[in-house]
Amino acid sequence: MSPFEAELYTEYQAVLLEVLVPYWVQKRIPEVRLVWREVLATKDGARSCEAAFTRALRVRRSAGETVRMGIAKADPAILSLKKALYNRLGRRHDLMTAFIGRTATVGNEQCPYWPDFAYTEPPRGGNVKAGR
Amino acid sequence: LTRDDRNDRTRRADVCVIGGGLTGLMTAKAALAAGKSVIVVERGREYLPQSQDRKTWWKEAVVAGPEEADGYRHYRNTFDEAAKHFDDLVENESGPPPWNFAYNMWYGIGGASQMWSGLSWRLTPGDFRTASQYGYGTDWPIGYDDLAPFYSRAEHFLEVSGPAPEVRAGYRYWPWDNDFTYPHFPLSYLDRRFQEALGDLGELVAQPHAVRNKPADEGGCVGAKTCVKFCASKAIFKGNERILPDIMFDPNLEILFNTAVTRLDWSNAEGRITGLQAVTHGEDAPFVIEAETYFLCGNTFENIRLIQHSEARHGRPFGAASPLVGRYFSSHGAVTYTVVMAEDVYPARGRPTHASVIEWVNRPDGAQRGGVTMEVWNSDFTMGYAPWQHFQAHAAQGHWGGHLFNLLESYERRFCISMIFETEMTADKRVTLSPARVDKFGIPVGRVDLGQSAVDAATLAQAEALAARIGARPQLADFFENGRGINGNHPLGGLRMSDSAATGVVNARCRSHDFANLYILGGGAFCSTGSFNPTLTIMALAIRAFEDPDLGWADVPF
Repeated sequence: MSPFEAELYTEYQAVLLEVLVPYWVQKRIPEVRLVWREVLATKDGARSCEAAFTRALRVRRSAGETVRMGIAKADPAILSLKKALYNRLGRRHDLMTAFIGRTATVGNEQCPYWPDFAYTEPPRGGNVKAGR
Repeated sequence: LTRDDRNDRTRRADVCVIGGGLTGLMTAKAALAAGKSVIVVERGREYLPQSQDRKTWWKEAVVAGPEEADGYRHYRNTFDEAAKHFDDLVENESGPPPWNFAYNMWYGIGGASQMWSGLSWRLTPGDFRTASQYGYGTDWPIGYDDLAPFYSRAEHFLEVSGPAPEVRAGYRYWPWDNDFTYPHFPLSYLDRRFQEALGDLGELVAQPHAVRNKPADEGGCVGAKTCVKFCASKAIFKGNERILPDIMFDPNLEILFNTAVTRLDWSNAEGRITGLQAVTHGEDAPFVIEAETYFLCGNTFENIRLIQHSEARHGRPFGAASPLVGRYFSSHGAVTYTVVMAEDVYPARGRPTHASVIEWVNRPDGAQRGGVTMEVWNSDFTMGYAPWQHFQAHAAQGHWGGHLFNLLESYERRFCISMIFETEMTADKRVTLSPARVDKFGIPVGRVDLGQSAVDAATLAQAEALAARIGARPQLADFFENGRGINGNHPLGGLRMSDSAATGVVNARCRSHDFANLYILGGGAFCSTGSFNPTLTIMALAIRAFEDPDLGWADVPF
């Protein structure tokens, strides 16, 4: 790969990621880019991405369009990258809660495992009737 | 020892309890208090989730996975790491549409109470006389007033949290006079916003829960949302956690784990159960248990299977009520909808459920249709509980890019409601034995056939009409049905209560008409399903059975 191609390849990776995870989501959870790098660091990821890049160079389309067409036409290289990325994201619970903007139970007034919990009143008369 | 003694593997006790679930453990406790010796036969084992591992809280849910075979739908339950925890999960076959019967349970001490969310509704007075009041089904041989004191005792034993009289006074419909131990769990933000959407159509009322609503550091609910499988603070009532520790060291109690009763023995001439045959898994030879009194405390479904299998092995009927065993079996129907609100309602907080609409149970006399209740779930469980599960589910559906993340944003606006409705018990709705499949003890798997009667169709139409009106509310951005079926966790009837063996299997104290020393507890005795979770009624009926004058037990500890 020539230095020019290498630069193009780096940009292609960023475009590919942006199609799969739009820029507004990347801004909200920047760790997505780290996960994407992990995907590309795998043997399958690198091979698929290079294959998709080579194909993208051969056609007169924008890079993003080749990715969208790849998904629509079930290009195995694009699909395997998409699957690998989404699988990794789906397993990253912290990223998804960051996206939602809260943990699953934040604001739960009854959970002592989270700060600022409060509880409801004690039973009437202060005793438990069962077992009497 | 003589040779005969060594060979005699017969076990004897005053009381033999078949099944170590909720009613089984209650029976053991009551019998021990009455000074009896007790053998409990439990087919499963003790199940201990990993309480320190938060991840397991999300994972531990039983799911019934369907597969088609022999023209029937077969359900084998699945469970994360099933092999680690279970070698014996419940399975059953379900008849052709309109209804499938998925039965999500595992065998083990504590039984179905292990996966009970603690909803402790009573049946309404009208549920006990559907024939005379609404024109379908059969009246119970007892009325609501007969059971009311036992309901109260069951509520105290379970330490139910529910709305106080001054709160209930403001409700449009609340037909009971309860004396709850703890105040109700407050309605969530989601409930309150959804109430605004419902408007006058229905009023959300606080549900009674067998969950201690007290400070978390005193053992109250911590809102971990794991009630159905495991409670972080032991606030929810589970038979194995609340009853077993009280009795497990009693020298008069013997619990046989991993042991199934494979045959009941009886004498129709004497009208008595004479013994039973049990097998411990992994051991070849069955052994006999003899007792003065027997309590059949398996799940309704299991009780019916055991009786029918015993009849097949003996080749003779189980008393005069034999033709009625497995007949008039039913459960609750439910249609579940996904609600996507126009604004964020922040699901997945606190207890899994808080609020129900119950006023639609209140129907005119002669209505010829069953009651309908609506339960609000505070997450869209069809997509999974947590945000990452929603992400995985959407991605698995083929969504990608900006659309995928836009869909994920609906997580904050999305939850489910269930329209739960009464089904009619008819002679055609029944449990029989599978001709082909057997479980690991060689007992045929049960086969459930449920039709849809005219009353069911009218009730379902009412439920769907109400749902359509909810879906049309302007506060909702989207509303769609995501599942329907018969709730397999509420198997009811099939061993119904009646005045004589010509019309039912047990009497008003849940004692067999044909066999004086046999009590059959659980949901089998129900003569109508009602529209509410049956556990509290099952417990009230059990306590009433323990006080049967013919049984003569003193100091019933409930």
